[in-house]
Amino acid sequence: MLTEIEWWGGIIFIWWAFSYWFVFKEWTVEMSVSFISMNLSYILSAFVLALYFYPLESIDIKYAYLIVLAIAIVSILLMFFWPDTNKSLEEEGKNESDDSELNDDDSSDELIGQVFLFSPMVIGCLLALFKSLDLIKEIGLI
Amino acid sequence: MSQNSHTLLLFYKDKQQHKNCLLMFLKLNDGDKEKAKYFSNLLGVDVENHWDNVWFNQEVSAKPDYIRLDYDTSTSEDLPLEILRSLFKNGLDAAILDIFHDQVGEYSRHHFIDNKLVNKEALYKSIENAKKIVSLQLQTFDDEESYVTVEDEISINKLIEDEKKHNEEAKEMVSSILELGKISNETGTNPIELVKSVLILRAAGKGLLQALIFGITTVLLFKGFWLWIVLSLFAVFFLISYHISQVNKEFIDEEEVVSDVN
Repeated sequence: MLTEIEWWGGIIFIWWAFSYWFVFKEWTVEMSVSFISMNLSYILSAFVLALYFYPLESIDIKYAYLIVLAIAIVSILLMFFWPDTNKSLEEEGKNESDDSELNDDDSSDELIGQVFLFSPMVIGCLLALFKSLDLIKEIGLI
Repeated sequence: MSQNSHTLLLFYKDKQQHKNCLLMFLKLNDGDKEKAKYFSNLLGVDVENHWDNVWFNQEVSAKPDYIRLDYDTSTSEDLPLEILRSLFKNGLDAAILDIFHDQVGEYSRHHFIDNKLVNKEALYKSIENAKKIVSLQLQTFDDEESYVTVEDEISINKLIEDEKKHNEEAKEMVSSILELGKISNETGTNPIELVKSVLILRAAGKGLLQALIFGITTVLLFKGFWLWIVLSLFAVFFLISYHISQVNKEFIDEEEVVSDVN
């Protein structure tokens, strides 16, 4: 083993790789804020997840970890709430459609799909948040 | 016999270059090879080979702000990109090439500025009176698809490279079809079955390679050696079956299309 990443971390990483590949392939609005934040969220969440398995000794590295985690969380929020996302395009398309029953089915499928696709990065960031609580205590910020 | 009819409009801002280019085409048209050579040397462009061997029914006309060259070629002839490239290298400012594809009865119009394929708007903006000249010299198409459009301008060098690559691929494809025919003759198997078995083998190889990459990466990166070994074995089985089923599906779809046509 070249890294300290546990087997369950590996499973999250494989899940992450699948979702990143799928989201990247299907993303239609290129070079927008949401596109950049999507890439940033995936890459930074993988980074903080990988470092979760390592002890961070130096104070600078601890600060760097907290900053990267903050950027990752901001990117995730931007990706979800910035107006020019794929999601908003899909919603526009749906508003034009009249069939409400189909819309209900589609929206529940879409929700499951989004949970599946975006969970790995959210899990990565949540784990990093738990680690950062310890880091903050160690640094003495709280 | 089918042929493609071309109309090439050349725009020079430099009057001397315009004159040299026109005289070169006029001398070639008159069959005065020596003088044509003289002007083509002055211009740094060699079109004699194309003029004698590729183009026919040539006609040359000109006004102070453009040169018009009409010629026909066989339907297999590509755009005269090499000639345009050397004309641009030696002072040409813009060119418009109109082609009537006799076999399909369709037109296509290409616009070039500074050794690049561009959209018509860019050319009209760059060359004064170009729009007026085009409306007088060439016909207007109702179908916008006849105007070749590009998202970003593409250099002629890139077009030449792409054309070379495309020709090489076409040659490779022809030679592999011939090879396939030869093998199926020798072995007495149906060429379609032969293609199918080659594709299935390739799909299996692809699946195996992907599973191998998965196995090596996971074993090296993550803890839990036996978990990744078992998962990799599942991946071998799953990926090979998946890729083979994709190949089979394509063949079944094609068979359905063929039976629908029949």
